[in-house]
Amino acid sequence: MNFEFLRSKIKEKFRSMEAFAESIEVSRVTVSNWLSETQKPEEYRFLDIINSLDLSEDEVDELFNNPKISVLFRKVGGTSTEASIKARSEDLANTFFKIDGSGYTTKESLLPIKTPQNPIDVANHIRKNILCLEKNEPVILSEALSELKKYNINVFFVPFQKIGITLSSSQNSHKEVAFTAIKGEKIIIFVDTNRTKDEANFDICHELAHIVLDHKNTNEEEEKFCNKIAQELVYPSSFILENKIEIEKFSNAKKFSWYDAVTQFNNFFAVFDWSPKGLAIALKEKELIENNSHEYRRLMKMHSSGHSRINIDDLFFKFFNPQDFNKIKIFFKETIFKDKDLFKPFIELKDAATSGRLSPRKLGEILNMDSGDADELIRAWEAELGTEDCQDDRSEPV
Amino acid sequence: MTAQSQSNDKQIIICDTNIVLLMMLFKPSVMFTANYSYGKIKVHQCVVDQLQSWINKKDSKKVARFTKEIIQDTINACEKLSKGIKEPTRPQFDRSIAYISKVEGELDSSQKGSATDRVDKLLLILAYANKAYLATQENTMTNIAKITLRPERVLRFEDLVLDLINLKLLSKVDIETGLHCLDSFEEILNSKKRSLILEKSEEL
Repeated sequence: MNFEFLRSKIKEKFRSMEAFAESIEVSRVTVSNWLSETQKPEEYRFLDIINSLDLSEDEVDELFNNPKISVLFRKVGGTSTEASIKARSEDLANTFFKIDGSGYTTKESLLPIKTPQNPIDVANHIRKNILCLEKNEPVILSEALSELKKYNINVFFVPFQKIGITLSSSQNSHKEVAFTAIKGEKIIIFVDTNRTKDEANFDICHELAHIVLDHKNTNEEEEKFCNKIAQELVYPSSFILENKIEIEKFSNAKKFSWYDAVTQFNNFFAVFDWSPKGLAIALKEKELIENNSHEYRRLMKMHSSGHSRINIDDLFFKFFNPQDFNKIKIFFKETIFKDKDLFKPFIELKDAATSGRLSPRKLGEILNMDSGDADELIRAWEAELGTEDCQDDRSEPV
Repeated sequence: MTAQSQSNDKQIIICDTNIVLLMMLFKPSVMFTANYSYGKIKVHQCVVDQLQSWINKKDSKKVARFTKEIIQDTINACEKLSKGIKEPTRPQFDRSIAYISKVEGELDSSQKGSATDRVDKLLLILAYANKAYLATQENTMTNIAKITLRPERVLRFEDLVLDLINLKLLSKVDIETGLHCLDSFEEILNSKKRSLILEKSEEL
């Protein structure tokens, strides 16, 4: 318990310790003993204490020393994280941490690296200790998600722009694509659904780099370093060097036709979820091709011609429209049960709202929808669910 | 001074949905209206709404188990008992939910039954806000209430029956019939407390 905080709140709300003691029907000596930490308040006093001090939910967390949240961003465009976006992201993450108090705690230590040497070492540390991969093996999205699940590190795919977390989809302005929320032992990685599979894979690798490097508030340098680690995880240098024959189809455009390159790329895409753009950047950084060279332009042309360009939003979140009540109702009624992992955050929000752990106002804030609509949505869910399922088989003796 | 006149008229017992159903099965004419030594029975509207939702739902398992008539009779009995419960304010509700969730999260698995739902949490907060007793038959609720309200403010159905026996408001026949009725609906009581109820009924 945070006794210093208790002392400051008593001072703020009451003219004296006696007045506070009187309000919760204990003696001044009892309160004095609490504050001098010679005696702890009995647990049944806590509701009196928090109500008498008029604490907010966050202040309740502070009183009980619940760890504070830190949010690490991966953004495209812009040079700094907008304060409003940071606040919205923190609020979103905190909501999930609150509605499932113990559900997001990681199962094992993630073995942070305290003194990182270079991106390749950090990438191999993540492969070995978190993703159960061989050294220099490319990370594949589905396998990474399944390994992270074992640690209870949740990856939540959320349409950032539709819920107001990104400012603009324009290339030149501030756009969040992923962020990690950490609160004590609890971790959730949020990824924007307006990303292709390879981008989401890269984003998750970038976030894992932040996690093992134990970043708290990241700066530009750390962001760049994490990008290099993610690049190394998805397009490993050694793997590229070991597959010279296949890679040459992209690094030596004169020798191989467009058809050869496309065929080879399709093989990579089928196995590794790579994108031509990602591969172009990887080859450029490994100095196998030059910027704006024929080889580079060929891969970028392949990219713009549509290879791997279908984003998660188009595939799964078409009905997610918080501004259209009927569509959002259909999304929650019909879509979210199709894939319990992919739609986990929405299943959790629905469960929390129908069990009273999330108010209509809060649901409206989180989903960026009118609170009246949110209220109506919850009523529809309650009518749909009834309340008996959670009441069954509960009369067992203590 | 009789035991009945010793009861505190100002005290109330807030009941959860399972408790009111057990009361209906056992001896409704006494159980809903008696002056318990703990106080008077109160049933919040959320419990009535929950019972009504069972009736409204198609193919309801609860209706199949208890019959529509019994649930409707329980609603009728409870509606008269819903007045006089002080409601918490929204901030009070939110901060109490935050604390109750923390307590629930810290219970070890042996103390947990089903996770609490909205009605459960509201009843806990109502019991707190009204300085009332909470009557519940559910494990998680019982354990959370023992921590947040005090152990002596949490009652089980068996405690209510034992109180009525002490107050001499139930006869031996009432108890035998009531227990038989609970058995026929496969409502299992705590074995030690059931034995105590039978033992005390012999003294009546």
